[in-house]
Amino acid sequence: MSGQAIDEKQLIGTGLKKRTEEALANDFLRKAVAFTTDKLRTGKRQAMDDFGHWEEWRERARAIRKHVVENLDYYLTQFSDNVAKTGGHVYFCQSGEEAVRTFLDIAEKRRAKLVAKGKSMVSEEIHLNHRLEEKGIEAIETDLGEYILQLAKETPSHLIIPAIHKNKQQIADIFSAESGESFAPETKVLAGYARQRLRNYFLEADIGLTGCNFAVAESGSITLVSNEGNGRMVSTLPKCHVVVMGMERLVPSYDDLEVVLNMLARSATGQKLTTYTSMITGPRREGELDGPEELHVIVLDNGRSAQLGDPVFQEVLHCIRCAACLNVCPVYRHVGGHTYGSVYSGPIGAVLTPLLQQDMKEAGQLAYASSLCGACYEACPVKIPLHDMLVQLRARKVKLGLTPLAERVAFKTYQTAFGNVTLYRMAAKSVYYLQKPLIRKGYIKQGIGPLAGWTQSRFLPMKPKKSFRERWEELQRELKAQGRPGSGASAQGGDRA
Amino acid sequence: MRVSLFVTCLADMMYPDVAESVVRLLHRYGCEVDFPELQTCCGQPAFNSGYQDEAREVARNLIRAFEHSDYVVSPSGSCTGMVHHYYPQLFANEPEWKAKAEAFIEKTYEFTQFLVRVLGVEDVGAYFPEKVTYHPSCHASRLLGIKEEPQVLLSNVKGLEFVDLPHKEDCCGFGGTFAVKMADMSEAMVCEKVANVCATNASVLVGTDMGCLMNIDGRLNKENKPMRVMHIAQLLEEGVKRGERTGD
Amino acid sequence: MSQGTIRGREAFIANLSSRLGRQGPPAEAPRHPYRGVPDFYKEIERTTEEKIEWFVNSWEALTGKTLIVDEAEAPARVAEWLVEIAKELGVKNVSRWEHEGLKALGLDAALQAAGIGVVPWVPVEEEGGANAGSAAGEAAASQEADSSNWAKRSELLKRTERCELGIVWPDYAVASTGTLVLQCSPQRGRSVSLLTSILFAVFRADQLVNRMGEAFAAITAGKRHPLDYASSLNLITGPSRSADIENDLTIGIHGPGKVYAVIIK
Repeated sequence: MSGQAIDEKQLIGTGLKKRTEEALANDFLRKAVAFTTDKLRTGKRQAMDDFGHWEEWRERARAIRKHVVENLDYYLTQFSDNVAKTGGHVYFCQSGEEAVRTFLDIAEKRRAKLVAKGKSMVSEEIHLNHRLEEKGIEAIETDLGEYILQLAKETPSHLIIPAIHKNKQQIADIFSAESGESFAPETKVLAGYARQRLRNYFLEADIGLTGCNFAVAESGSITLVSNEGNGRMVSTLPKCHVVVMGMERLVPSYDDLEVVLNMLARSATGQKLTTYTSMITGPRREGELDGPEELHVIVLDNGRSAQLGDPVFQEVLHCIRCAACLNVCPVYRHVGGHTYGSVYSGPIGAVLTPLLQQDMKEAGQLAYASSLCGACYEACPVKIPLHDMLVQLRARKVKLGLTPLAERVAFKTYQTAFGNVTLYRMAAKSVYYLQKPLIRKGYIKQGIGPLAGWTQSRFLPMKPKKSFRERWEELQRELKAQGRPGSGASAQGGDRA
Repeated sequence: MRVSLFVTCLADMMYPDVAESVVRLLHRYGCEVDFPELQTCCGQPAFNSGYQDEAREVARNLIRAFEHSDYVVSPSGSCTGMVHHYYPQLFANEPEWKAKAEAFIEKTYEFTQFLVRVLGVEDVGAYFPEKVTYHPSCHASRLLGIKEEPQVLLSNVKGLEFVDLPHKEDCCGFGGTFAVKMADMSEAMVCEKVANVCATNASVLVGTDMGCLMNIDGRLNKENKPMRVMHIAQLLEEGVKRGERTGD
Repeated sequence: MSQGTIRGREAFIANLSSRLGRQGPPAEAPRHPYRGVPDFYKEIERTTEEKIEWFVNSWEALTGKTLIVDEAEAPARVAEWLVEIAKELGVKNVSRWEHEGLKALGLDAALQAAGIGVVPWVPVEEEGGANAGSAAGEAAASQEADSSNWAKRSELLKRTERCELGIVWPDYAVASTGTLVLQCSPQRGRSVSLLTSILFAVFRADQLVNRMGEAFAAITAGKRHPLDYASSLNLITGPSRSADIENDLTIGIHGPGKVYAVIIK
């Protein structure tokens, strides 16, 4: 019985309501999410103002990403040729399963027991950690927030700052449980422990695993950004470096890299640049005394190519994973990342998850987790029209016949009633009479059917007896009596600016 | 100048006073206002829920209704935004209707947009000595780019003490069917909006969209926090009357 | 350098091309009219003095410290500052790039005079040479090796890891962001700017560029083959940091938490 309840909650669509309720009941989470997103939002605004010409920058960034995605076949070919020329190995994997098996092969060849991971959303997308666990390979998340969550056996609630839902006491408890020592809930103490503990993993790991913020096609370089330095650590110390990259995370040249780097840090946190931005071109060279001896790059499709050639959704591949959309989304603000039930949350997650998983039935429900306010589009540094895409996802659901019968009937009725003024007038009249039993002191406080969703938290005003169009004749008479249009204003002396 | 009123189904059915204020103000500034009877709705409720075919038929009726109008003015940033932003896409596969839609878009304005940009009116000579805060509706500001017009109009109202609304750019939680379909999320959003509105200590909340205002007002009433919630046309009209009375 | 390999590309790319409505990828590089930064940004050009100020403001805003010296007094003053910092922070060993400029400053002598060890980035004789032959020594070594990867690493790496301060000479510095640009080489290890808790960088004012793209352009100029690129190009903008613990900012988590820059005019 309880097993069934757990399963349902994990279903992206079916469990959405339950996850929403849980999130809304979690005061600490809500405060943390609001505080974090306010901070990041403000940081971005300041950075935008300081930088100047933001709309021009957005347009340039959009043009570059568009160009790459439209020519992905060319640039991935160029990129992989160049990686191979440096002695690196490239594996093109169409499915997540293929990517996981590829990584396991590499790990096996290296007899790897310990993998140190830099932050990689793609590795979470393919559930790599779970598979490594099955094989008895220890995989440690080295991004501080991800490390905390790994110990707590939880998933991230924000793309950039994953553990915002944890307070210092909780983190202290998590570290205590791990180490057997007790820690004061003070940032300095906790960070100090993490530094020392993770350092050991950096030194001992057989494989360093990272994602890739931007690959550079012209040189075969991989760009990694981090503030903590863990990205540098895992791509420098272990003898084997494996990169897992979404196939669209590419720019043609270093010239273009400058543009996207300028946009990424500013949009994500309001910084000009993250502390560490590293461009890795192949494994260590002859004569070098540090750096990995082996470089492997796993290029992942996993549902991305399904968006190519789709005039509506291809643009979703332009995303640079800055999370600016999360930071302005009023829905995300209240429910946090877990509510979305998937690796990618917020507005980008609501669009990407159904598309990548090619699942409009369950994941497609995320398209409704939005009031279509458009803040995400406004914030996006590469101008992805996420608000339009959400509506288009809903349209796709309708076309696939995946919406409830009652809803389809309701909108067909709407088309009939509102497509014709006579029927519309009849409908308006009947609303007036139908509402009567529900009205208390001029309001409907307890709605029935779909209205119950409204009255759960609001009063609904009553429909007045006469619609505007029934009062129009009288209004016309009133205006005629006033005289010619404009005569009132000149007499009054109101300005025409 | 002939102007046709696009009343919107919401104002027509629920807020006829707002539409009347719009008409009176337009009349005041030399517009001969007519009301094409065939109009019903812009189709947004169906469109936003993904029912594009149904929305298209309702939109078709709206375009027909205004075929002979010179200017079309609406008291809703949301409905005007629907027309501007989505009609070309709705009729993308019908060249004849796409052209009609584009012609319709060319002449259709939201009320404050029309007042300020077309009629060139920034000061209606209003007197409204109250503390007022303004909620910028998402569609008006983001789909139509209406950022300054309402502020300009309000700034010229004598006696009006303007208080900025904290987190004003955050959606109020209406979103049409979102309010009932995702009731929990909508509730959280409207509660925060109401908290921000009350924090201003304003006596009046003003806006350009009755959908938003109905939503916020509905919550204010449930929380028993009475506050006047007005469409900007109503505020300006009342201000004009008060101005006339005091002879300002 | 052995040739790398590519697996699974044919079907993968064929799928992409097909979805993009073509037989295969274009033979020639596609026209890319929006390459790089907008023109107004390219036109930013400041004088050396302005760039110095710009860099210092950016660097210090991130808690970095700077020292500006004239070329003539550089050796004395840089060494003085370095030793002062090292003493203040209890530094016992310093790692440094094997860089001509750094050597010319005579920093080694100053450090050693202050009783601080120097680990230059050059290969080191493996430790335990005296015990290498003994069975006990070998057994101990292999036991250690079995349990620890790090123990099997080079002596240089191990010594560098134990240093508290690392000295580098960047190839460029970006004024607009307060960024050091470092390319690695056999004499310039990545680890020197990474493993210690203090970073000490020295560069000349004429190495300052306005924006990172200028550094990129200089670095990519004339390169024909990916092997022409350094295997690791690092942009370092201030100290390592994290706000993952309840949004509270921590400076210095994995990389150096204290960063110092010397600009030689």
